[in-house]
Amino acid sequence: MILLIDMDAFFASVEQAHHPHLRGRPVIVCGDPGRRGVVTAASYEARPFGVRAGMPLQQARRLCPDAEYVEGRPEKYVALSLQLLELYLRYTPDVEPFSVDEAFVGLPPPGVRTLEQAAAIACRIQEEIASRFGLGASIGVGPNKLVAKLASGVRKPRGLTALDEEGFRGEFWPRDVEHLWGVGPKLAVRMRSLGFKTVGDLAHAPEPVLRGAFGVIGPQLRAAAWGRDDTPLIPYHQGVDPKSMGHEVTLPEDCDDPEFLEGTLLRLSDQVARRLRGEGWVGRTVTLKLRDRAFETLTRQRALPDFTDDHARIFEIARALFRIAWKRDPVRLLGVSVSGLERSPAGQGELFTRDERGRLLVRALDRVRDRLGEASLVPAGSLTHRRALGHVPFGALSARALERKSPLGGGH
Amino acid sequence: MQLTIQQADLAFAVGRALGSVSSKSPLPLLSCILLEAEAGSLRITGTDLDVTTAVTVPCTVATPGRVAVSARHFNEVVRKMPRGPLVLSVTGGQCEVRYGDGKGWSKFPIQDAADFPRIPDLKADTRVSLGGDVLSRMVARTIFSASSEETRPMLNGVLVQGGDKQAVFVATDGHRLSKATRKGAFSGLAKDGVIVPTRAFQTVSRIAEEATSPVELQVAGARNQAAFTAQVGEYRVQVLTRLLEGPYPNYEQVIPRGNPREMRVRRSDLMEAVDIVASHADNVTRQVRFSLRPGRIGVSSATELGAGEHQLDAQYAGEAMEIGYNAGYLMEILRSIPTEEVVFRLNTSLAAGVIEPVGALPEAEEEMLCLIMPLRLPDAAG
Repeated sequence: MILLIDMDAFFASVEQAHHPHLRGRPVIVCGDPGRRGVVTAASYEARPFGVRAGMPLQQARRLCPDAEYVEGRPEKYVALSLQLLELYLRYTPDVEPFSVDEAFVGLPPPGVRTLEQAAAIACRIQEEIASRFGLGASIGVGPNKLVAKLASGVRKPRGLTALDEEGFRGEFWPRDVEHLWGVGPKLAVRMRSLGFKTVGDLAHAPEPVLRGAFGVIGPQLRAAAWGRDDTPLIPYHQGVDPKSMGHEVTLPEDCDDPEFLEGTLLRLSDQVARRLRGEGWVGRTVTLKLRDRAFETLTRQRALPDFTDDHARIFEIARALFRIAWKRDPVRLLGVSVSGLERSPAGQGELFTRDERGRLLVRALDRVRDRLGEASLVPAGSLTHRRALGHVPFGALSARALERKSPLGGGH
Repeated sequence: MQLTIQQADLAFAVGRALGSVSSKSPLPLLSCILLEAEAGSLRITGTDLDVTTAVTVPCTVATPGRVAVSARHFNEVVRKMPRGPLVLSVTGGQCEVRYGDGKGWSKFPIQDAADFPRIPDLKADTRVSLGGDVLSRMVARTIFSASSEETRPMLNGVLVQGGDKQAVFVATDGHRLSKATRKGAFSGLAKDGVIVPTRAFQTVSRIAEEATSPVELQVAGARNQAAFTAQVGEYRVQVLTRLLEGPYPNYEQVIPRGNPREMRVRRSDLMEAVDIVASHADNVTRQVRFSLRPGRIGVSSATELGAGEHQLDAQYAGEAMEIGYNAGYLMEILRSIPTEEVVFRLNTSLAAGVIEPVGALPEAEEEMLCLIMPLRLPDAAG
């Protein structure tokens, strides 16, 4: 049996738990309330106004002008997230963090055989989260990760939903295909065009049709519609390797100044490279993300012939992609990420670009920023027009740096 | 167009021209070779627009003409035809080849030769000639170090420099470097040199090996083009290439002159050790560890694949030292050196090391040197 524990409006709830005056009020967590950006999290009190995570802050202000706008403190959330994982580990060693506010918890036999037994444990975990941290969690219980994940969304907040495959079908077959995990808006449109409107339709779709339309994932989607999934749970202590590392930033205002935009790309590339180095990774695919004022988002990527953690090389590619992709419309958001990650090789020396002195310099610069913060040193090229980004974009701190600050420091 | 040609001559020309035909070309015509018959000779050209090979072979031309045929298919069939005279003619929109005194024939669909990319005549401003064997050796001693990384295109080739006293070939990918020199007057070549793409040199090198004349290198600096021309018996082979744009990094600056530690070892012993031990090395880093001790070195590797160690005698008098290398780089370097012994001139475990032959090369006018950057070992300081 598997549980998916999803913290209810996690960031907003943490703020409410720590600041009593926010309790019972609509709370909107964001990057920097004085700036533009997007809603990072909205408390349940803010949701009836239509505020959702990912929405532009300006829109949130129109919908819910009286909400409390709170600047997010990622280090606090990560620290709490780690404490929650510790709590789950007391029940079972099979804990897989899925995101900062979600975790899969495996309850293997012989202890737990039935859905009811698993649900009873889920209930105890839910109570413990409430009493120790003052936070709400919604838990889904199921025979596999897919059912657990989807069940967790059935009743929120503080819901507990246990479904076996049969129960899953009863609950989800009447629902639209988007409700199935892994079916995004684009996939849903294609499915509807093939006549599959509900999860039940998909479950009864002829396999050759699905294979023809969606390739290898076709049969997997059909299996998912039946509530079948054999994705293994990867326990936390075995480590979950990241698939990519990236940074993005919503610009202070929509901008079509190439110098400023490329300066921002340099800054983002520098942050990504720094995080790669900090956590001992190298990557070989650079992805550029570009969002215009109409919220049209475009991503472009290019692979390098080898692995890198060098900001100059990441920037070179990001800039080349930007120069091809950008149609000179004002840009709202820029992002740079690196994927295709591998553990950093033991450090192949470079004859030219990164001589030993250069490498030592990069390490020294990293140490300065570890101690004095990200803004203490930035690439000069990112300071165009003196409109440097005054604050660190959300998530710019490395997990390692955060862990050092957390009470569970050094927990590797 | 009609001509009579020996099968061996046609097969040679088609085979060499095919070397410059890209296997996956966006333009159908670029998967073709161009056949041009003029008084007494047939010229066959293959190109991928970057590198072009043109081979001129003797034949008896009855009617001159030009035609383009599918390179791979034409080569495959002509290669198998019996030795002796072939009659090649274009009739009814097809290219027909008759062999064995009327014993057999093959027909090939043709493409309009007028659309075939025009191969410009090279307006050379400098020229120099090198023995075919010299050229192929110099290429073999350097080309493996060239980079295939798109982000530094100037490293995707071999730097060729001339001068009054010597010719120098250099290739590097930023992790290792190899340099080959030949004493002599090569003043036809500029001192700052030209960068010949790796692919062009692969083609040239094959022709240089079989050349019966010196290979003439002509450079049209203004157009960034070069041509290598040689005779192979009666055949005239020309390889035209676009040159890579520099600037090439200042390689002299990174060759350490006074590395204090010297380690001499039998090349074949070391290759055997590295080859065995590297079977356990990580697929990405290919890391092997050298443990230098007075009089011997240990080569070792340990990953989840397995572990291994190999001890061998070496002349080394310095203090104990641990240093990591990419086994692939090492093997390529060691393979390129022809002498029985090699010497490593080392500084620290993080600094560039020099690997050189011990004693003179078989050709007294030639020298070579390789550089390799170590891999930082996980337990190393720094």
